[in-house]
Amino acid sequence: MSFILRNIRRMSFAHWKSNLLIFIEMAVCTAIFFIMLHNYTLAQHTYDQKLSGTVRAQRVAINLQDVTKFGELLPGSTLYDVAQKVQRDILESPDWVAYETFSLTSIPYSRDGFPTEIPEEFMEEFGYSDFCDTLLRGMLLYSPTYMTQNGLRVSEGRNFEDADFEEIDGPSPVIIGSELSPYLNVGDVITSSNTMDGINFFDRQAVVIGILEKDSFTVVQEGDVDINKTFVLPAAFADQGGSEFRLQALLSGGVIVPHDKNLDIQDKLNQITAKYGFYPFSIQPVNMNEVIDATIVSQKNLVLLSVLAILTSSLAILSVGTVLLRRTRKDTPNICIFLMSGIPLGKIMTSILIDLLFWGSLALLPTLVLSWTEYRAFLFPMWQLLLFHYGALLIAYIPIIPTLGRINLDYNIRAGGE
Amino acid sequence: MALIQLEKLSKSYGRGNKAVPVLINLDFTFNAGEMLAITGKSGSGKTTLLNLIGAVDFADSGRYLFNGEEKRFRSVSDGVRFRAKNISFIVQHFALIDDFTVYENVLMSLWETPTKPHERKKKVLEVLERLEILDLKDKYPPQLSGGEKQRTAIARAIVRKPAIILADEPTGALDAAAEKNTMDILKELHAEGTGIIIVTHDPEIAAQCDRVFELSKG
Repeated sequence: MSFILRNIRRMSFAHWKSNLLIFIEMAVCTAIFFIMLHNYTLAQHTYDQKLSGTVRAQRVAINLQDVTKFGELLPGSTLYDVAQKVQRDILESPDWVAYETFSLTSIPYSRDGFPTEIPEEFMEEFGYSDFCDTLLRGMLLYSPTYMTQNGLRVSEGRNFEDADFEEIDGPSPVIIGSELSPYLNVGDVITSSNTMDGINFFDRQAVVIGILEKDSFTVVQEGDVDINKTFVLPAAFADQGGSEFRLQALLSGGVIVPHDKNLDIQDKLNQITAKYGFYPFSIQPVNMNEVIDATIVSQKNLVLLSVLAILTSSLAILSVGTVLLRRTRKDTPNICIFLMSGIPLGKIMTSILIDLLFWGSLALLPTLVLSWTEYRAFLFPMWQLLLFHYGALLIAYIPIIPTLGRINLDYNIRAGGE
Repeated sequence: MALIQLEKLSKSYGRGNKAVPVLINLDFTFNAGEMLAITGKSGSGKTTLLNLIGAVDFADSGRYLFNGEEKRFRSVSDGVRFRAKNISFIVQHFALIDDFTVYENVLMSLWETPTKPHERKKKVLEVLERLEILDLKDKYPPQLSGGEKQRTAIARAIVRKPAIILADEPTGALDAAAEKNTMDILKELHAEGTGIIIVTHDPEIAAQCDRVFELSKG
């Protein structure tokens, strides 16, 4: 051990320029690699979090092939009873998860009904806006399944539960879009009412139970819908909680998420409708632009970052390898003296490797400091960074082995005095 | 008794048509405790022979017997192991590590021997004192004179008490006083039983040895 330690000490001083160069090269390359890995992990993390497997799952919207038949589905009619059986079979099928689509609604706004004034940018423009002062955007749901299946989560408060969709006395629960959070807090009660000629009507109260995560969106057949300025409410808020509304929300735009992506949904639906002699359904894939875009961006990022990682690794290996090789060749006369004095080649190689790893390890410090000061945590497993760092160092070391293995003692001893 | 015996040893440099033979079917014997001078004109193969004896270089053909046992050197590591047990080198240009102190340069020879650290230190200090360079132990080679460097090199060679010391033109870079001093030390070591082989072109140096082995071209 004594030789290895003394030789490392000797090389540290004798080759300080080379060591400094190795340190700088590895520090820069590792920092670049770290930033790439960090950003990629961050992007991947955001992607995974926002677009969970549930959200990314393929889905179809169902509709009656003949939309005019909706007019026949009147509560109390025979066809209505049949439709309810079809509805039950669709909702309870073990082949998929089915849920009703949402319906848009408008929430009349008056300053008195809200704890804080809501800015104009949140107001909807409708043809009948003369009817009331202003309208806020609302979204009516028929079950909490919608939130689950679309990966809609709250950053504050709580999400909907089954009980929220039952008929309740008192204020309806409401979850607000993230952009409304500066104006409303969890627990705030809002009153929605139209005022015309001093008379209030459509008086509804809702209590804020949660605030949606930032950049929430939902998917409909036509594409993605931004819901960051929206009030999300159970359908009962607008007197649409009855079974006929729920039936319509399923049969007209309801969504099916199959467990097996190869499932023939149309065939399964035909089996259900044929069983009850009900009108056939058509199915249409739900257009998930944001999901597709995010996937493409993520894949592009992965390819780009992989290429950059390979380039960075190659740069590190080439530059460190070159410096190390030059340094070793320059040190050949001393290495020959060691060999002449009985120091085994293996120990000489080991001392060079330990020296390289020492300076290489020091080069990790800037990256560690950067990660600590900037992020206070590692988002990705530490082994990935260490694998790159020490992998590059070890590969850069490889040319030393044949170089020293082929060392010509005779030549170097004769040339020593020149 | 022959400590080293070389039989029909041949060595050439280069390959194929460009191969230059240096030693051809050489027979050589060295007895234990002998002081031998290898002489010859430039290019006669003196240093080549010394390097073959010291396993620094390897012969193309022939046999190498050490203490009656045939040695086959195939790699640098084989040579290192052989030298560590039996042979020390002294060369004209001293071959000292400039970044090590005199003490460390001498200690280097003991790093691979099964000696405890305090014993190593004791041995090195004894040798430095014997060669009258103890006060230089913390100096670095560039701070030394030629004679002091050579005494450091000799200290390194003798500290592990090898059977043979191979000296390639040991006085070639020294002034007359230092030359005499170096030869006195080598003769003293020889008197103590250490075998010494000196490569020299100086007849006066050769004359101080027990025997002279003269190489003619090839």
